[in-house]
Amino acid sequence: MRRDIKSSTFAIVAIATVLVILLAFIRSCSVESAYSVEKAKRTFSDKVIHRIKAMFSSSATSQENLRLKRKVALLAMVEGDCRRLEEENARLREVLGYAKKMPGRWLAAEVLSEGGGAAGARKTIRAGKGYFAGVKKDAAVAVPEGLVGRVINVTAHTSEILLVTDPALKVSCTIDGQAGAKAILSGGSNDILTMRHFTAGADIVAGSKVYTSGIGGIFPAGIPVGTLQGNLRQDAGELLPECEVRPTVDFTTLEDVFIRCEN
Amino acid sequence: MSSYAVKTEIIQLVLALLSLIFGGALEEMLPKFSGVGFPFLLMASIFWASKRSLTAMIMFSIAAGSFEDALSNLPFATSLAYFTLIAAFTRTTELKYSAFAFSYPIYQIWLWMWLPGLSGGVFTRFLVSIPVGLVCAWASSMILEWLDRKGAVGEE
Repeated sequence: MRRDIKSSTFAIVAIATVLVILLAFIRSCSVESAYSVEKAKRTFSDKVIHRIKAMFSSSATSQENLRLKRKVALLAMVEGDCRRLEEENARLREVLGYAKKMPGRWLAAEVLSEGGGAAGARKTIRAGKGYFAGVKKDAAVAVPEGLVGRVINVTAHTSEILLVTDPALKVSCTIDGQAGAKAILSGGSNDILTMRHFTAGADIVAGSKVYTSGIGGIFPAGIPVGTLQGNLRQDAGELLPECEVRPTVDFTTLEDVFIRCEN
Repeated sequence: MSSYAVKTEIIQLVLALLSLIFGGALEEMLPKFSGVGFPFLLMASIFWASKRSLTAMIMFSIAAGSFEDALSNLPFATSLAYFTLIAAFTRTTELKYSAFAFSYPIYQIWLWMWLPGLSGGVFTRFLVSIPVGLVCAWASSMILEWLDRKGAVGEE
C-alpha cells in the first residue's frame, strides 16, 4: 500500500516536472513561430510598400538621400571624437578611483508589433532581435529622442520591451541642471508619466527636462525621458507629492529601437 | 482505424498548428483598442470545443492558452486555465457559437483578478472587448469553417 502511494507520488511529480519543462519550451516556441509571420509582414512592408511609395516621391527621396549621406559622414567624424573622449574619460575615472561607467553598445532592432497578444495586459512592443544577436533580459531600450523601456522577455529572434509608460516600469531620474535632484518615474494613464519620491530640496519647474540618473544599473545615465508638465502637486489623501511628465518619445510611431548590449 | 479517420486526424493536427501560428501572429500584428486585441486564439479554442472530440478540445485549449500566455507575457497558466475552462463550459452547456459573445468580456475580468495594474482599466476593457470580440468571433468562425470545409474534416 505504502509502496503504491510512493510510486504514484513519484509519478505525479515526474509528470508535473515534464509538463512545466514542456510549457516553458512552448512559451519560447510560440513567440518564435509568430515571429516568422511578423517578420514576413515587416519585410513585405519594407521591400514592397516603401518602394512603391518611393516611386511617387523620387526627387524628394534623392534629396533626402544626399542629406542623409552628409549627415552619416558628419556623424562618423563625431563618433571618432566621442571614442577618444570616452577613452580619456575612462582613464581619468580610473585615476580618480570613480566607479566604471556602464559598458555596452547600442544594437538597432526593428519593431515587429505592438506585442502583448490579445490580452495586452502590459504596454509592450516586440522587437526583431533576440539572444542570438546578444540581447539580454533587463537591457535598456532607447531611440535618439529618448528612453523607450526595458527588455522583459527574450527569445532566439525577438525581445519583448516593456514601455516606460507602463505602471510596472520604474526608472530613477534626474532633473536637468540639478544633479542632486532625483526621483522615481513610472507610467500612468494616457501615456503620461508620473514622478514621485523627490529628493529633498528638488526645484520643480514646468518645462524642465528629465533624464535617467543611471542609479540602479539598468538604464545608463543621461538618456532623455520627458519634460515636466507642471509644478509639484500633492493631492488630498496622497502621502507624497508628484509631478506629471510628458515622454519625449512618440510610442505610436516607433519603427526601430536601440537595445543596450554588453560589449 | 480507417484511412479516412487517419486522414482526418492529420488534417486536424495541421489545422490546429495553422490556427495557433496565424492566430497568434494576427493577435500580435492587428491594432489594440485600450489594450484589447483581437482574440483569435480564444475564439479558435471555443470553435474546437464545439466541433471536435474531447481529447482534441483539451489538447487545443492547453496549446492555445500556452500560446496566449507566451505572447501576452502573462504569468504561468493564466490564459491556459481560462481557455480550458471556457472550452469545457461551452462543450458541457452545448452553447456552441453563443460562447463567443461573452467569453472575451469575461476574460477581461479574469485578467483583472490575476494581474494588478492591468493596462487600460478593467471597465474600459470590458466594454471595448464586446465589439472587438464579436468582430473577431465572426471573422474566425468564417475562416475556421472554411478551413474545415477545404480540409474535409470528418469525411468518411
